[in-house]
Amino acid sequence: MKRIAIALFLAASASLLAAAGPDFKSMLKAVDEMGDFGKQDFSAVYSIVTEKPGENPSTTEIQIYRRDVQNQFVILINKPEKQKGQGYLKIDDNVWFFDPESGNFSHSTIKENIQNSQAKNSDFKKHTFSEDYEISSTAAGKLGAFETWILDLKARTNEVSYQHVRLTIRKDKSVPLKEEDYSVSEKLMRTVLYLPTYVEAAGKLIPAKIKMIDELNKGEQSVLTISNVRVGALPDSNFTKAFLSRAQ
Amino acid sequence: MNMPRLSPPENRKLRWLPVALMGAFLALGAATAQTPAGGTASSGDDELFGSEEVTQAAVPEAKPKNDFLKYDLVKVGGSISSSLGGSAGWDDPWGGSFDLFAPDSTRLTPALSGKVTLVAKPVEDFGVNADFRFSYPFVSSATYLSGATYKADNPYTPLLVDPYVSTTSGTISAPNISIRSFYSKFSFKDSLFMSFGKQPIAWGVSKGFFQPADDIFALSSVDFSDTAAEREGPLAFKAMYSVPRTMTNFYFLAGFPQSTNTSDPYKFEDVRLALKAEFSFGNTELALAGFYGKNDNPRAILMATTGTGDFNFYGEAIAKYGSERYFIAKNGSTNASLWTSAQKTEDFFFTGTLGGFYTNSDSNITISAQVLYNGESQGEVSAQEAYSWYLLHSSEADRSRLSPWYAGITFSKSKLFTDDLSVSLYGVTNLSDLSGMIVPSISYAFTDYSNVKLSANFTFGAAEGEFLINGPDNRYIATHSVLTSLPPVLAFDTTPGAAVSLTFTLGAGSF
Repeated sequence: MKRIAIALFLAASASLLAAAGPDFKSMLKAVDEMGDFGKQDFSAVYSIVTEKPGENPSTTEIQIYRRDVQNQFVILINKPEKQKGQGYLKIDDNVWFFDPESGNFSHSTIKENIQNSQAKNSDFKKHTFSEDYEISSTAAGKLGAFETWILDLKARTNEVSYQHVRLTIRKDKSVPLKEEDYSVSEKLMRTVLYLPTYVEAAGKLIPAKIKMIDELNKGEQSVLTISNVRVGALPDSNFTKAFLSRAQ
Repeated sequence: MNMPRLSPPENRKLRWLPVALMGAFLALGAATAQTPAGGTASSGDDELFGSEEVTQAAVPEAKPKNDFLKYDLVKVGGSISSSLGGSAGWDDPWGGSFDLFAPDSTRLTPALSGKVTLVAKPVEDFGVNADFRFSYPFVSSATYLSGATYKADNPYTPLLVDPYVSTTSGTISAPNISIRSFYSKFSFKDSLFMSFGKQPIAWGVSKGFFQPADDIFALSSVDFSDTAAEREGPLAFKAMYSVPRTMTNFYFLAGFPQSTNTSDPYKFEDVRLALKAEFSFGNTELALAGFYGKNDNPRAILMATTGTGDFNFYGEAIAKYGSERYFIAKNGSTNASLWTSAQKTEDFFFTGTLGGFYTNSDSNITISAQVLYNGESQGEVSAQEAYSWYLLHSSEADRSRLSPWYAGITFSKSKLFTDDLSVSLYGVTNLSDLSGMIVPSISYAFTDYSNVKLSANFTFGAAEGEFLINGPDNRYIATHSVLTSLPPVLAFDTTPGAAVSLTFTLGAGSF
């Protein structure tokens, strides 16, 4: 009888351990920390090649500056020439867009797409999955050569671009491989593939190539390639409206 | 006391098997409950993640390049707008005599206009911007006064009072090329950013139908069909200082309006000065501003923008001491010749606007709404009466709206069914006389540089309503401007109308 009780206890413990699995909250936090440069500023150039059926691929090049400790970032458009000088300054949920043609600033909380691509301005800030979402379910999986954890995340606020995100994370490193973005009505809107090619800076791994697929308009996708990655102090003036207006 | 009997190893294994199976079953159950639906990778994704990772080290450079702050060459840009269209208008389509094939007016509208912009940035802290505009037929005609004769007897009584001056005029043609802006930008110690020259001054937060803060400096009106378009600005000096590590900004503006006196075009007392301080907290940006001009009415301005998610809101409030407007008084008479007008220089006036917009970039939908309260309205006269007065007293005409309350809405949806199809609608109404206009349109892009657009303009409201009097196709604007003919033509549309236009944009685009 005693043995049976022990056996049942062990079985229950095993099932609970299996149910608990790894600490997914910590895992999500580690994903955020992998892309968080803290007190160091970060800058890089992203080339965004957007493909649409029946159209020639278009290329957008943006310069970004990030100050993660204050949740600030700046996006400046270098190419195409027509849009050169347009810029975004984002602090927390606030976005100031500068149009050099009119000299206008507009303030909003909109997560708009960069140019005509699948990339949103919020894609270039540090990840804040652990703050913005709570984990609703988990599973183990495999993506190509990588063993993964798959986390379903539900938004805690309406300030995020997507209310439901399914995040596929490498088991061996705290980096995401795939992000599926769903609307409130659970329609798959966008798939983001963080291809396993990285730039290492200040001990962090930054995906060097990201593919964003528009799931609503089949055949439309953008590929982001990072270059000129630098980590180090930037002038305070880089994170001001005045800095954006200098691009005019 | 009996010691427990040890079982052979095989038996022990067998005895633990059901427990292990039960544990595995429970574990599987728990895992199944956690498994997200559709969590497997597609074979295409697998291929992308099949290769070994390549890790590169970041470029060890201290400072990023600010390529946009300096150009090796002068950047030349611009746009061309070329279209061919036709429109048909019906003055009273709801009056029972509507005939689709017999419009009251038809018009062919070829249009060609463009702009060329130049941007030079030889060094990081100095640049020059220029913007030239032109449109077909590239010449414009202007009427000038060639002679005037004093007349004691007026044959057009009561439209003109005795005595009056009979004038003759001539016409002169000039190239239709304008310098929309031309200014330099420079900075002091990378902290104070300045510009001087003819330039747009967009210091307000409203980019909708009503922009009371921008109205103070802007020389051009808001284009209802493109409210975010740049508005022409005056010769001005602008300075901006951003407080480091904050989103607090200070602005100084000085506008230099050109006097009509050509021998003394600029006077100290005409200089228009403004200060603005801008603060940010949470999702809200608040701005306080003051405006002063010796020959102008001082104003205090409060502006705010805020938002949450896809919903954003803005507001502007202006308190003004005195008004340059000539307020028309009917003096209890319907006879316009007995009406008078006067400025109110010692009264306070309040003008405010509130607006909001919703943007869903995934669905490509934008919806906006805005309301305006105009404290400087012409309270005693209808829109038609005000227009009639201004025709005879053109020096008293101004750009302020006529009535106290207005509202506007917009809706736009791009990528409808296909990437190339867009629909939009905007409507503006005078809430005081309940007249308004609604403009739906649908456009299809054949290429990046050509499209076809079908649009309509419906006017509604009672006779004398503000949005009725120009007609749905603005045909009556032409008759309003015929001031040189005697008697002056005072023709207004007085019934709700409709106009439809089909426009082909041919080879238009930016460069």
